[in-house]
Amino acid sequence: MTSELPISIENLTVGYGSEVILNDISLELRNDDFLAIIGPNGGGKTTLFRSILGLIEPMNGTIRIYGEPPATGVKHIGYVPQQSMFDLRYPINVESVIMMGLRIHKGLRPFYSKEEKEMAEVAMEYTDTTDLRSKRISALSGGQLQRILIARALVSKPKILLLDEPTSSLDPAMRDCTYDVLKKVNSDGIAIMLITHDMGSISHDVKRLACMNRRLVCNDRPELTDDMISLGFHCPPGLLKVSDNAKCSCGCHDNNQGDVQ
Amino acid sequence: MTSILDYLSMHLIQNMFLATIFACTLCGVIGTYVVVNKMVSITGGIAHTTFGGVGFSYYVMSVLLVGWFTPMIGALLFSIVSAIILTYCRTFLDLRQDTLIGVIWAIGMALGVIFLSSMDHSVMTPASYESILFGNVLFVGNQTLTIMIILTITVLAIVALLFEDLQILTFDEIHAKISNIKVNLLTLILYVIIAVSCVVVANVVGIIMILALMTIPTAIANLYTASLKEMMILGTIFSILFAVLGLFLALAFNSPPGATVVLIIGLVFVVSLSVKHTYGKIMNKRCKKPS
Repeated sequence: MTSELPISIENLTVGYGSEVILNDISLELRNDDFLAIIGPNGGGKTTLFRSILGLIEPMNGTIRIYGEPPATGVKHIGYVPQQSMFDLRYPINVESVIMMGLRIHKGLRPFYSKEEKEMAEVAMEYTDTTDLRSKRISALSGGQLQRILIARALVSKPKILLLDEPTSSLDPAMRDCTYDVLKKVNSDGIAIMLITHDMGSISHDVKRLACMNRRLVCNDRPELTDDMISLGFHCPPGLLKVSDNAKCSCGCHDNNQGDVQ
Repeated sequence: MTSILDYLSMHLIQNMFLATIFACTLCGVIGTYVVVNKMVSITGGIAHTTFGGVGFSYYVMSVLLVGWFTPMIGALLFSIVSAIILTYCRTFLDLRQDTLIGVIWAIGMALGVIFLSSMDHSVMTPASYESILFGNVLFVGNQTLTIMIILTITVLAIVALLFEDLQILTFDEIHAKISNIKVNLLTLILYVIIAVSCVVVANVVGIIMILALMTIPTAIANLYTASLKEMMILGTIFSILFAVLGLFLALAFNSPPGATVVLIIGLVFVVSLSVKHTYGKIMNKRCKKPS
């Protein structure tokens, strides 16, 4: 049943003013799904997330989160934004950042309950960040900060996790560490959708792959298709060898495209 | 020669210290939001519109003979209206915020000059431009002090109630939106409490130097704290400590109180920054030494 899908998007068109950013997008996120959406910068990936989160009103089409519109369905979603959005000089420690994820449950009450503090403890243990709780965010490495943001997204026990460029500023070791956490999250039944412009950073654990560049092409397997290459990278498919460390003669390249295989 | 204790037994001096302590408490708390949310220019814009309010008050009192419309009430009216305009334009209009701040800043000052020059000088004599712009904490009367105390307690109560939401808003606005926080309303509340704080602080250091007292003590606190609450507490302590020190020096050297306070706080900031920078360099060198 469509209404039971974590996310169901039908004929979505979104734009800013007269400029259309997403053109007639249809997409489903299934239960236990692990979907990666790749595509160039400016292709509309973040706009798609903002539409799902109810931050942008679509021009046309519908978004349903477990059958509900984004305004109410957003409670099922844990969202991990790009790290570059944050001012790391902000005086805040790890525990306070994670507690923010409980605001939707806390409501207008000016303090967190004992139960909510226990939920934060569970999220910190789950992401192995308990030892960092009193550290200021400026003292964290990129990988540690990513785990903190994942903990914040998970603390309210969402059924869906959305991640915006989760590995863009991480070295390979930290990237693998982040994906280990996501693998555990997905195996615990949480549907994951992540977006990235860097094909080389996609996890082996991704179950499906989609490519977005204003339009969307989706594959039910974690493999690049000719349509995706043509849409996302404007290359004739023959020029981009997916199976090896290929470099496209038209200028776009990726060193680890084999990862998505 | 009059001793410090003799000074402290004077009613005006007691009022001066009480007004400074309450204003500095607001500076520590609200200044924290100003610094972490990079709202220094916005605060400057709002602060300078209070000059228009003070001028308007003198005009209303002298021409329309409305005695209760004191300069502090006029300043409150103008600063709150400017906060509402700024919030509205930020939320609903596609305008560059810095341009808007410049416009509001200039219009507020111009209105102040026009109202002060149009008032009926035969009915009352206004405070000098100098004392409005640079403050004269020695002339804080009982009524003004009472209003300052009420405003301070009200603003602190609002911050205590909305602390978590304000922290989320100023740290991650997107997260605030998806957490069902009424972001536009909360932004308006933040701007209005900044406006009210500007009016309270203006009584101590004057309009021109509000920014110094609102930003420097909390900026120093930001160098040494790991959370918003710690920054507020340390910012308040620094603010009161340096302001009281400045007042004592002003009494001792017969210098203008507001300017002396600001100068002391500015000097402490420069020293703190140098100490922090030097300490950081030393620690880096130690870490790089091979064991």
